[in-house]
Amino acid sequence: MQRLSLQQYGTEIARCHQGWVCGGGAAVNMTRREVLMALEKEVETYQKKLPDLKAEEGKYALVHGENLDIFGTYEDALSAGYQKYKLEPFLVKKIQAVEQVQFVTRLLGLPCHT
Amino acid sequence: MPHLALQVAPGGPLIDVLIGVSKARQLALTQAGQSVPSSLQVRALIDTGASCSCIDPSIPKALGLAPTGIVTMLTPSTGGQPHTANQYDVSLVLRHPNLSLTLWTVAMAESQLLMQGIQALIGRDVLTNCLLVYDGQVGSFTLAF
Repeated sequence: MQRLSLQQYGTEIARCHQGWVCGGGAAVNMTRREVLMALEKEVETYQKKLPDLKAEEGKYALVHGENLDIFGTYEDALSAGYQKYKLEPFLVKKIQAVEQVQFVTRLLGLPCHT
Repeated sequence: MPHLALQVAPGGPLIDVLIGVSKARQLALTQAGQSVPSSLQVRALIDTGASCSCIDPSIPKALGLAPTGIVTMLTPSTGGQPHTANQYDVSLVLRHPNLSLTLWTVAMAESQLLMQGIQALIGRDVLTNCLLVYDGQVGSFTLAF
């Protein structure tokens, strides 16, 4: 697995919030931008609190606005998110000091706009 | 152990799966008095080259999903530069006439797949629940779960 430093990860998030995400046409990017904007505050909260979460590495953060709770599994964090915040936007993120990059070798030949 | 024995299509080891909302979201929708959308039959490619499973944006749109995660992905199309993608919580059913496998909560990343004739990638995260045998000489594959 390739890993991103926090700074690189922040840059990637920022680039997405500027309106472009790789892998689609302009219309699709606009839609994805709008969706990503819904989690902008949550990503910001996660990044801000991440330096204090070293002891929680590998667990899952449930983030809503400026609130952050920690759970042992993805399923638990997700269930708590829906119970607590209903259908409002929330973020579930694995706590990692160095962001893990997912590889998808299949996705060839799509234009990148970033 | 239930298993599916299928032919490898020109596009690879393809399988029809059901994708719906996750169990936690189902509960939230019901409690909110909203209807739970029916699961969708989706053509998926079994892809051992994908560390995470992916869905085309048309799927979460049809299911009325909002993203609950963000992942950093690296694909050949981005020239070595990782990019960020939305992630959705869904349920996934690998159908079998006698005993289907239902995964009630699966995180799937959003990726443009429709142009490849598929709507989902079944990555190694889901395959951890399965046994996959690919027989290239015969042109078949078996998925047991």
